[in-house]
Amino acid sequence: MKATLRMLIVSLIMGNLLLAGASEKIRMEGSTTVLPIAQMTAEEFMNINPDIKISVQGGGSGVGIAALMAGTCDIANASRAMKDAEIKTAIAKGIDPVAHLVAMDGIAIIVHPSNKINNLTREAIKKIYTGKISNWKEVGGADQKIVVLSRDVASGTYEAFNKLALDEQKVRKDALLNASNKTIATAIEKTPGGIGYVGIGYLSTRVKNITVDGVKCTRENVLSRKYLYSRPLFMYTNGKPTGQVKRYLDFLLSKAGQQMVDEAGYVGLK
Amino acid sequence: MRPKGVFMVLTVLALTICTSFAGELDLLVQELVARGVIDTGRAQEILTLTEEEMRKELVKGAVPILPGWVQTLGLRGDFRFRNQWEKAEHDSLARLRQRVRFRLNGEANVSKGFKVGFGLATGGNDPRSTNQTLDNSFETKTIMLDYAYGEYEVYRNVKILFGKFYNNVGIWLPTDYMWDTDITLEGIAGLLKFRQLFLNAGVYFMDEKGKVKDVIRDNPRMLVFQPGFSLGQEGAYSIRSGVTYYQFNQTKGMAFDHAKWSNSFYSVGTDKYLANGFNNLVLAAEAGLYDKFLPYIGIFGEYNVNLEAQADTANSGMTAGIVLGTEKIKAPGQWQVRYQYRRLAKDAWLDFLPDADTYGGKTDVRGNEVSILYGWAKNVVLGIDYYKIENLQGKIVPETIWQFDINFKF
Repeated sequence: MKATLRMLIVSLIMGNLLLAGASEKIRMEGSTTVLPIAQMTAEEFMNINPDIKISVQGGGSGVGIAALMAGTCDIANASRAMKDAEIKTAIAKGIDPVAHLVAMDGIAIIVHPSNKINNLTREAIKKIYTGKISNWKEVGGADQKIVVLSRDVASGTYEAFNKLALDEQKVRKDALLNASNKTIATAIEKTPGGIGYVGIGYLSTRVKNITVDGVKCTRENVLSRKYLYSRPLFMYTNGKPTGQVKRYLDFLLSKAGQQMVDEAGYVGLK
Repeated sequence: MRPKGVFMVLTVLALTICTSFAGELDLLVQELVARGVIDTGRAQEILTLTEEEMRKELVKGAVPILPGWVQTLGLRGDFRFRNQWEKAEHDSLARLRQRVRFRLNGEANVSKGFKVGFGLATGGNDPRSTNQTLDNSFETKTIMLDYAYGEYEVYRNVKILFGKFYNNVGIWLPTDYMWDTDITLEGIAGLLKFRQLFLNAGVYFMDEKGKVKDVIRDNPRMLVFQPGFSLGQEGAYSIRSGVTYYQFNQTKGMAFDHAKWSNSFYSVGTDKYLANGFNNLVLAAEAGLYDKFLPYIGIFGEYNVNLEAQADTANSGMTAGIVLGTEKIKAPGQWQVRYQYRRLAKDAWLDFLPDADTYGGKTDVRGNEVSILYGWAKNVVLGIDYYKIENLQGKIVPETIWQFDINFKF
């Protein structure tokens, strides 16, 4: 009996010691668009706070929101706002989804630097991408075939562009699909008749960033949403964040965190 | 930001949320940005998060007043008003009637993997019609239980259904050539999907004969076994094909309710009984092309043979057709034109199952159908359906039907 009691006490003490030494863990899941922001800031946050571990997973906005509802993640990353049906389901499950705006994203329209076109209307861009306009002369440019570059359908940028620019119509069949922003920018550099779209972080002097309805894709225009192809990026928590989750979000929304957002190719809020 | 600035923003914001519309908040935030009180990023944060919070509160407001079971219940339905003109050739008399159809469909999640579906619809006990003709001095109309079933999702792509459900839930049916779309099957179905393959199987109870010697053999049952495949590329093309085998254990010598007696029969006194048995093999296929010349171009076809019919009887049938326009009308301005030819021999199929609009739903018929659909508004579709169907044997008497519909979906 005494031996059993002694073992129990030792186990309890050891258990407490182990728990005291264990690091806390924050689980993040969701949007692949928000993923680079989450990864960069999480790494930096863990460098500053070695006692805190953050796991970051993609899967898509819907997956992250579902995980938050299921209680399998602490932060759901989303490149869109939660749908009414999702909010309703969350509330029915006793989850209180609280949105945190962590960055803005702007999708810039780029053409080859030799292209004399400086501006396109939203309608013209929609017609180009849905196959109704195929020559630059139809929009005031040279008599040259338009080579349309798009992101592949699995990308969050494609989804956003499809919604913001094309009213969810399908991209023309002959569009050249690319796996990343970088490949689109590189291809446009080499294609005089090309048109493509990239995240604002991928703009350079090697491509021409044209205006849309007279508004340029700049940091200020994306932040004010004057630029049409702008969208907010969110992180959702269950209720107001507390403890380490709050510390992480405070870090992300600090000047240092928002600088990293800029470095990741998005528009920081500060 | 300075504390004074923060205080000012919060005070103004709180007042604004309570008293202003979102547009006014927008103007206010813009003014604060212009005066340098807040930066553009903070302004965007305020506007976006306020919008999200207000949306959540609106949804929240709706949720607590509903009991838990209502939150798992989804309801949808449709209403159709029809103007129908019909006339048989050489007949000096024609018929014009106005008909309505109202259907309310519900689905409730019971627990993970289990759900219940049900539907209420206008109509009487005719399995092939949910229409109600407007007649009899404004009398009130009946609402019947159209279907009710339980569903168990064994795995992601394996389902079992019990009860009464629409025929196209239990069997893949590209057309209404053999099955009127209003018929709801009664029995147990197993539905399996594996990559591009599907398998539908089921046992359906056609009648219950009361006390009998052999409860399995003497009660008419229909066994269905339908393997098939479905190929396609989103937005480019789709192909689907299947083989369906129907085995009926008790049809010869039966007198089914709602039979039209266009199948071969024999009489005993004034009573009629089916002269042939039925076991059918059906080959069906449909293919569609998207965004080539038109948003959708589709073709379809079915060939059916009754393996149980006597050798000298007309025992087969076929249908084929084309669809142009939009595959499913969802938005205003969308349209669809559909043409279908059908030929269904006398003993090719049980005569209480085919589309009721084709020669009263009888067998021993052939003819053409053309329909035009047009999206008038979101969820409101206008339709014209034209049938010219004639009998295959005896004195040929073609029948023409025109249907003018307006459909509302909700």
